[in-house]
Amino acid sequence: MSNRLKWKMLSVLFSCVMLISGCVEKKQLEKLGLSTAVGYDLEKENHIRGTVVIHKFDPLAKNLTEIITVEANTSKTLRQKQNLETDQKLVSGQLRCVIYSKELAERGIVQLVDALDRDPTIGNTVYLTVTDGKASTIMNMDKENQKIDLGTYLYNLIKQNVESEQLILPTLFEFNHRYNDHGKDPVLPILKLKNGNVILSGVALFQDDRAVAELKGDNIFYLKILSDKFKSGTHEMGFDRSKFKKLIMNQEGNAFRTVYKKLYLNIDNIRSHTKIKLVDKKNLRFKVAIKIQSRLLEATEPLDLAKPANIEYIEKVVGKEMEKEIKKLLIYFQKNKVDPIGIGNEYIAHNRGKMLTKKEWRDKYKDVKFDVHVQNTIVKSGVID
Amino acid sequence: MIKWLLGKKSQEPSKAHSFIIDELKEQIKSELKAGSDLTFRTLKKDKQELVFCFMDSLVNKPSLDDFIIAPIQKNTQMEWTCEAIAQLLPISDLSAVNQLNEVVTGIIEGKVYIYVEGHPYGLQADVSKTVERGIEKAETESLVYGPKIAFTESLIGNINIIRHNLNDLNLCMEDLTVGTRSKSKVKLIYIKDIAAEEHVNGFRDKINQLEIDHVAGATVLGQLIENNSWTVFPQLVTTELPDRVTIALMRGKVVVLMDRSPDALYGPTPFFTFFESTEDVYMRWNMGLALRFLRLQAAFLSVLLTPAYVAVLTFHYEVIPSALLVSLGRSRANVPFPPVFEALLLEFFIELLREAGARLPTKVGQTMGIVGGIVIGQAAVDAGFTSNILIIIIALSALGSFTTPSYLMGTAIRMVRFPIILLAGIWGGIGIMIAFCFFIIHLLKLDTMGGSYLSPVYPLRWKDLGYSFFRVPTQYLSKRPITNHPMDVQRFSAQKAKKKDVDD
Amino acid sequence: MKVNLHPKESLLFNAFQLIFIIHSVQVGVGVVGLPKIVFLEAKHDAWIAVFFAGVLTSVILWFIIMMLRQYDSADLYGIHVDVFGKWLGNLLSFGYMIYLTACFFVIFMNYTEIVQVWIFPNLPTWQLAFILILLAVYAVHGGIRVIVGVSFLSVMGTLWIILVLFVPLRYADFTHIFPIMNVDIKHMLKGIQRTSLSIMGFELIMFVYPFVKEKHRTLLYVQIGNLFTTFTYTLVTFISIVFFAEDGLRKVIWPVISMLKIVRLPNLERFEFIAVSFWMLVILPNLCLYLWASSKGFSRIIKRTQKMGIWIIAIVAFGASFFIKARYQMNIVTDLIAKAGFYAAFCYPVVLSIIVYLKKWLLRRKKSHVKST
Repeated sequence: MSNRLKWKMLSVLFSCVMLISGCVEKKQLEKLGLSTAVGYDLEKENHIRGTVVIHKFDPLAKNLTEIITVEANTSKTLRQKQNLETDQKLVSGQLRCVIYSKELAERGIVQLVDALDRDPTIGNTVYLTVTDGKASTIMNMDKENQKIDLGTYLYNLIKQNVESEQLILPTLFEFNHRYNDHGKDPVLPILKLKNGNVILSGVALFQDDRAVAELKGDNIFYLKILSDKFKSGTHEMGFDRSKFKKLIMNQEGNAFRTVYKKLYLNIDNIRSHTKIKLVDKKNLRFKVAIKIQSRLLEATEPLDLAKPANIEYIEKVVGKEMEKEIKKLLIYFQKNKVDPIGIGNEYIAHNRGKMLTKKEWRDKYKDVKFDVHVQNTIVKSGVID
Repeated sequence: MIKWLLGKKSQEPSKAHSFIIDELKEQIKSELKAGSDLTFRTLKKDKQELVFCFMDSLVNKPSLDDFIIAPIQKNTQMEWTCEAIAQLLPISDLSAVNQLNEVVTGIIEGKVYIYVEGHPYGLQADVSKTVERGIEKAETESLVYGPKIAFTESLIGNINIIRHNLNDLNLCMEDLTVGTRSKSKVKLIYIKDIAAEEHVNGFRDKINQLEIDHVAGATVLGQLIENNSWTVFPQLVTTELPDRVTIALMRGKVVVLMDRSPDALYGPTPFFTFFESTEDVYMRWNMGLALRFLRLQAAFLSVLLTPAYVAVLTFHYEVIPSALLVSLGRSRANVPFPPVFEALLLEFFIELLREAGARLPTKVGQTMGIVGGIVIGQAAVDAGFTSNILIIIIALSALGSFTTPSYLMGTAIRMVRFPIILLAGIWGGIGIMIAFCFFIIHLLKLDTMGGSYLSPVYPLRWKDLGYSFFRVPTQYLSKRPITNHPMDVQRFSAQKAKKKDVDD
Repeated sequence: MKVNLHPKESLLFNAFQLIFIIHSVQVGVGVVGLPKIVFLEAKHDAWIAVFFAGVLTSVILWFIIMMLRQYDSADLYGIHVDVFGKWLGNLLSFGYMIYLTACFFVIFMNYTEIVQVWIFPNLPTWQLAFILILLAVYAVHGGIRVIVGVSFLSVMGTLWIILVLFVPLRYADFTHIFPIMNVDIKHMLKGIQRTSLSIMGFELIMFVYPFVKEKHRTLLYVQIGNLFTTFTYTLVTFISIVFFAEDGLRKVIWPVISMLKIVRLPNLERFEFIAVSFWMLVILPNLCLYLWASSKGFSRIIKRTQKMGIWIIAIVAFGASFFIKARYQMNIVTDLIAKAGFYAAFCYPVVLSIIVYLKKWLLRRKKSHVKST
């Protein structure tokens, strides 16, 4: 190429760069108010109250965060109104956590979630949560000192619990995935205020986009086992002492006092594998086979673990107990017409021909029968016998 | 003029000088106009008169006295004829001339013209001296490991070094001249049965075709014979390291040395050659490989880091992870300028520091670095001029650009950063990508002595990757790089170097 | 016009590079929307449809290469003249040039739209279009050697994105792909047809062929290139199906980018911003090759310089970018080009190669007739 032409091209390029500089909207970090957490409450019919935690980088201001509450019909109008109340431009690209009040969740949240989906600046890994009371109370809990950024705090709280395998991933994409799947329903964690701190109190089970039931404590562990490949997570089980009579070691000489009436075992799940299989298409019979490799962490009474037979016995007893609990849980799901495990997906996958719609599956779901098999293996029992 | 020096007849009709000494003196004086520098020494014996014409500043006085004047004076019996004098003088470079222009050019080159009055021709003896510094350590391409010797301004000395490094019978050195006025000597060096003829011819033709009054040095010569003179990227390597030249010669490259220039120029040199250091060769291969990768990465980061900062802080606040968000936002909050301006300002500051440090003597330069780097940097952050994260980034990218062994390429990398920062300030990540695409196309368009500039990556030559992009153990490098189209491909027999079996 | 094109020796490139040319020209803006488009027809068997589309492409490539082998070193412009005569042949060539220009247009317009949706909502279309066209013009000015280089570096530089695609697999639900082959033949065929916009581009081999050094190895490398594309596409579609729920995949427009949203690096929260920017490197060889092939027509048909052709096409394409205002208009144009592409890239070469084959066969028969008599 001749040099003249190259110069011409370079000058054209340069002039065009000069011409259009500044045409794209600038979003300089320090001039933005980053909303890190958003809460939605149902105010009255047709009205939603939105609360937003804004993270600002004002060197003169004492507080890092600011909390604004407004009311509107759609979430975007909420943002516009919130924007009027702050000196910095409100953007949601750093949104980490969304809180819906239980009231709202019971009515359905899909239109609010859809608004999150539509916005390309909002990430896919935003955590969605439900709160027992009002979202605004949680967000205003630290209003006086505002030392912490609530969005980041909630984000870390949930992330920590997800990573230690206590919760099913409550991200936006997981919610969407479950909501859009014909044979699976969403699950979101429930936040609660306790002694001025936000804690996770349980899990809300959704039927489509409406929260219909709640799970607490132990059952979350089983839900987790059923729905995911599970890597860690501890679980405590209580048994009658009589069942373990043979195993309890005689304490000669040492004084040993029993504090509990029952015998408690604490089991650490190392690896679990769940297989849900459709065994009988006509009668809708599913076989739920669970293989758990676990580790005995704690027993409230000294057990004789040196004998292989004893270990086998514990394995069996624990397995039986789990089977019972899981079966109870599955029936609970059925009763509430929620399918957080994805049994419907399993059924659809084995059903040729026309795809089932959500409604068709719900009708079938109540007739489903389960066979639960738990195969528990205790692979380790700590550093002592 | 070049043709004339190559031994062909000049356009002007040549004429013999006057055979009378006084007239000869006048002729030479009027040709040279050298003032008192031009010296004539006359000797008389019987009726014969003999004159020595030379430039005082160009001859080596002791050898003139000892080897030319003294023997003639001492031999009183001898009759002064050219033949007799030629027999007598202990001088190796001695020729008989009688053309005025030859005499004059001889005198400029530092020769002594000895003429006996009345004779048809005189003798020219070479007792020239050149002023040169001693051999020193390499300065611009300093090394930790490996030979430290560097080229000097003396062409003969440089050839001496290369010849000693490489005792190959096939090492060719062609004489060329550049500069219609300065007539600098240039040596075209290659190994006859390795270097591709096309490259040798390419260099020779390009240098011969140059029509310029003066070429300031090998670096300038390189710029003049490159194919694309608009680009920021150098297409030929200049080096002051003889061992680097030796390695290049053995790989089939062609080297150009120029008199009075301490740099050797060689080619063809694709892009990645500029990131090679001789240290890679001297180190064990795995360390060499790691260092070469470090350097490539440093260059890449040096170009990309500041624009990425600008793009993220101006447009893409979404990509900042929450752990970094607070520290980035806090440090930016005090700065009154937009990120582009901030980055350009600081880059400019670093360039100033570098330039000032290079101009000043070494000791002051160090103080400059400390004052500039620490004091002003800290003050700038405190005053809310820049964010401290940007200071880290700018320092990193400056360091990155200094790791490039070739000073020319390092400078090119630093210069390239500015338009990219500007583009990042206008279009964010898209702007960076536009620049990236542009440079890919641009590098593909460049060539070095007719070969692809991005070789061996494009066109892909697997075997050559071991020479330039990677550094592999020597047993896998039995063939010379194909990029240079070597005539003798084999370095050593791969069969003989084969691994032995266990217990063999 | 000469039927055969004999470029300078220094312009020829190794047949090996065809892998990269074919792959890079096939993979472009189409692939980011591919899984959704095919899913709408072939449901959760979309990945099989995509795979079959790849197989079909490889059959068509075989036809094309067989046709090209009938000549010494001809491109489509030359073959047109040889088969249909000067007037009709050039008219067809001109039609093909328009098709190539339209492809060029659709590629940069679609990319601009993606950038507008994902990164800069208020970036004027013409700005980015202008820059992209300039980049392509700059590259095409360097000739085929530079373009081949661009496609090689583009493939090498973007290979790692395939690895990133494995991150969504962690959140996959494999029940989605079952029951396999549940969709009927009609929808499967429709799905295959829908793949055409994304998989086309291989027709450019008809223009590049004269520049290949080892012509006898073209078929092998072209097939490898196509195989690689097929593999990539099948993988992308498969991952999208297992990652998205059925209704979810229906809703998104660019499933591949939406999928990359969940990728997080320790120092980078949102990967899709990188991916969208980086996609420019993926479409760059497409732009260059289409611009090159269509501008080649200027020097082949009407005996003008190719440089002039480049500028004319660039200006026309740039001008056309002002006519597209809304999303639905772009969708109409894209669908139109996809349909045209289906005929121009899939059907037409097959027909043409059969005609060429018949013609050569007849000629040979005539010749042997003449000889025997």
